[in-house]
Amino acid sequence: MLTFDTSWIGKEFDYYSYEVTQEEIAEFAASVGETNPLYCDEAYAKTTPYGGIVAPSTFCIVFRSNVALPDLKLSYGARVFDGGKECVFHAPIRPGDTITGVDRIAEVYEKTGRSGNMIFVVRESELTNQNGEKVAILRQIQIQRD
Amino acid sequence: MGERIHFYEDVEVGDEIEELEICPTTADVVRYVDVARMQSGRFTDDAYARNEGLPGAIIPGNMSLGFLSRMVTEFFPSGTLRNLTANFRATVPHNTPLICSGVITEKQEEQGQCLVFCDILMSNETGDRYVQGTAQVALPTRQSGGDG
Repeated sequence: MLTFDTSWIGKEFDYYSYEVTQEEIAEFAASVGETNPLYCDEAYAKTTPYGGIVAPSTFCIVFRSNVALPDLKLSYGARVFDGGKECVFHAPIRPGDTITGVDRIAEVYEKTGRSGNMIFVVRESELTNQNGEKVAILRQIQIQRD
Repeated sequence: MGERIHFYEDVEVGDEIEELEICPTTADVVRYVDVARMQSGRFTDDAYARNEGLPGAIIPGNMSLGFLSRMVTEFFPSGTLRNLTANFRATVPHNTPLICSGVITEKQEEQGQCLVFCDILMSNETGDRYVQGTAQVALPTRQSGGDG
């Protein structure tokens, strides 16, 4: 049966900040085989509705924290798996942006699968740019079981 | 370049997104984890990954998400990706031909935006499902011209 330290729900536990470079955007795009010049060609990008280079949407995942989850005092779950992601994109990321992130525990719940009980821990990251504009919300689902 | 959809009016529920076929190599994964700041032996080192109980080095879930995002945005070149979800059903090995595919499940106008909803999938050539998810894309109309 799931028990954990419920005081962590909704509590912020990590803060981080990164500056974005044009080179990083281009390299990220190339690493997943993107060929759209919107991600690397300023002259082309200026002719688009974006008015300049932007990053591929999933570039925002780069800004996640490397800080581990806090100790939630889960009643079980020694084995840890990446269960999935949800990304909500609000505004494009551009070269020169400073992206600030804050992480919190959004949810903890239990499910019973074919292999037994599993705990789902949802870590939510809220990213904003230097203008205070929300850029993205990322929800990462961590699955834990024995 | 294959088929592309530029405008909301051209979308029909049930349409399939053009498949993206890829075969990420270990060198590709090394390049991704470097720029995505995800260095871990489980992604690049077979021995390390086996020690963690995995069959070998695996492709990061975030990289799979990047491929699925690429498929969607290449198919809707004038669209804006609003939402992407993914459930990681199985670990994805290196050097394996992968197919990203998708189907349009719904279209609706919501708060002034013309939205298209898709189911998306990454599988191998024999149909084993690695990543399953959804995507939501805002598209321009012929009247609005270009803004998603």
